[in-house]
Amino acid sequence: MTPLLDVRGLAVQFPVRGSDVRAIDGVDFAVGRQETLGLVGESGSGKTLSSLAVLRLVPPPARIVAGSVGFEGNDLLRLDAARMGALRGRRIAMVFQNPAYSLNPILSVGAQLGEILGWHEKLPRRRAAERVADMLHLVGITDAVRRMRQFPHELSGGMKQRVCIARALLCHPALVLADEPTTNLDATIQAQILELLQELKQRLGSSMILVTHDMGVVARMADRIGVMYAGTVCETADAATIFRAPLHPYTRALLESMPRADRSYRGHRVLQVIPGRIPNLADPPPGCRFHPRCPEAGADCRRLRPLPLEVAPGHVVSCLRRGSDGVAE
Amino acid sequence: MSAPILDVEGLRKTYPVLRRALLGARTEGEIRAVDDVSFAVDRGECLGLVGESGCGKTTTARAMLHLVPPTAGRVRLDGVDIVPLLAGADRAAALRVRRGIQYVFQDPYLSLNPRWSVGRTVMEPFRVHRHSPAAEWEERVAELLELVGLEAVHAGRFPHEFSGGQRQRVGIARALAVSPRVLICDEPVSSLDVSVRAQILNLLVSLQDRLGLTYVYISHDLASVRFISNRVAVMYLGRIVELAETEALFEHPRHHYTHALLQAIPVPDPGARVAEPLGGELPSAMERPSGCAFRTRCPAAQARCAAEVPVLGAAGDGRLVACHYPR
Repeated sequence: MTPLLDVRGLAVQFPVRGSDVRAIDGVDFAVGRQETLGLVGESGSGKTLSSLAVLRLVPPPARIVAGSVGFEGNDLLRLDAARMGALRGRRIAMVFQNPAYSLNPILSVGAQLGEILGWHEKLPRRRAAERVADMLHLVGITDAVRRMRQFPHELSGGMKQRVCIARALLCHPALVLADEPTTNLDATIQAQILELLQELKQRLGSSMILVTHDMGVVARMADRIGVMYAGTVCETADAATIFRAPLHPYTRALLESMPRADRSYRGHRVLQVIPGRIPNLADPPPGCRFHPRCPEAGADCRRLRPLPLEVAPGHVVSCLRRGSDGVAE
Repeated sequence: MSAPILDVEGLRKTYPVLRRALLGARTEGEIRAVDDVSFAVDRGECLGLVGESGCGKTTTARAMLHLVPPTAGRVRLDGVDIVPLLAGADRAAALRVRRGIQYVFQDPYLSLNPRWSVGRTVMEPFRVHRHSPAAEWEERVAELLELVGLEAVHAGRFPHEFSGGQRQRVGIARALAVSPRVLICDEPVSSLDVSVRAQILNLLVSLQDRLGLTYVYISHDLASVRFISNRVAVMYLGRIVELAETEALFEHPRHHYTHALLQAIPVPDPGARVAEPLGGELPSAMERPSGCAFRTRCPAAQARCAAEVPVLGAAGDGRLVACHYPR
């Protein structure tokens, strides 16, 4: 069965002082129907840019320079602007990290959500208002009619994110892109929003890409996980495999270096660390981008760029030490 | 048992709520950001202070150092109440206090002057405190940078040339310049990437061992708190609701809020059982519920919780809990 979304060889470039910096360099990922793909990585890994590229929303001067985004029989990178516009928010919708910035401060909640239905489905205002109220109710907002008259600044952070989720789901999209949807929320509110997303996804049967730096959040939400590092996907597998039997040295190091609230540190005074720092993409290390920090790196890792290798069904890893082929750069 | 190095008693910080009127403004009420907070920290210990946004953990830390003047309360450092000293006109006395207790800020991007070289930033405390002879300053800066895992040559560089983790090392070096006994660390790793966080946490632990430092470690990130703290105080709406040894608190939380908070953290284990999330939202500090502030969200709340404010009382093994019906 073909996946709902199939991203291949995606590359995004920024012009920096006359030269081109590849912020994403040959990224592949796919999302199946009713599946949640977690994209995890640290800052600069390209996880947010990858999800924005699906909707062709990479912020200029960045631009998509290579790849394909297969979705419902089309390559989204080759669609004309009108058809792309008709698809954004209707078939693929987005939930952003900061709900305060992604809502229009001068429109009431009802107006800005109703507008979407007017645009995509040409619904008359009254019909649209009914649909908005139903959707707000579905995301756990009890007094929907009163909330629709309110403006974003009158809502708490958790409530704003509920409104953003309702906005994303209004047209029953096939795919929801959620970029750090709970990062700005407090722990107890985060738990509420994660539960809501999980429940809605099951009810509406949509697929989701969840972009996050939080390994706890992906463990809870994702069916499959892509681990990103410095603009590349280094390992993809189902969630259990990523956490229980990871193969890529970066995935392993990331999991081991992370302090955990569910682990006792009695008698332990030292955490394992990943030495060094995240590479500067304007001058990325040659060969495997993780080699300067990798405990297993050999001479070939400095020279050859590892290619993705499917080591088991659905488990793809890019590492010369795990049998990947390498290409000279 | 020796006396605690730091002893906070009845610390309070309130902000008046003003309503503008035709002539001037009148006070309409007050927000109790920090409400009667007391705790003690032993020498060489790390006390974690945790809670969600608005619970008063940062205000508590700032009020201790008079970065916001506390409304009431005593903060004793080695038995001496430092609140009047920091508030008073005697600058020499205030500086003497500050040499004993220093602050590491959350955001290493905002807390370093972008136009000052790292060397100047780390040297500034020497100038302010007239520490050692000026001739020795440069050498001391080099020592400090090496102590926090940077190099002496970094003194000539500027903050923008450093990564977040390195900037936080600079912030720590600056705090250590006057050889304090107590360091208040306000979310020191929250703005850092996961792979860098462990490096800074290890640095804090090794500095504590080498220099015999005492920490108050403030964070909303319970994972790092569990790693670094000996004891943990949990705050909710300006009050401490539970204080216990780290392992006891994480393994057997007694306050219902502590329990809910621990349950809410997604753990990096896809098989982990997911608990029913706590309903409702943090009440506004202006409309603080009567009795126990947590009762509006508490699964065990009863009539008494609305009528009586629970007192933070001993619950065995050095644990303190403020709950009428603890778990």
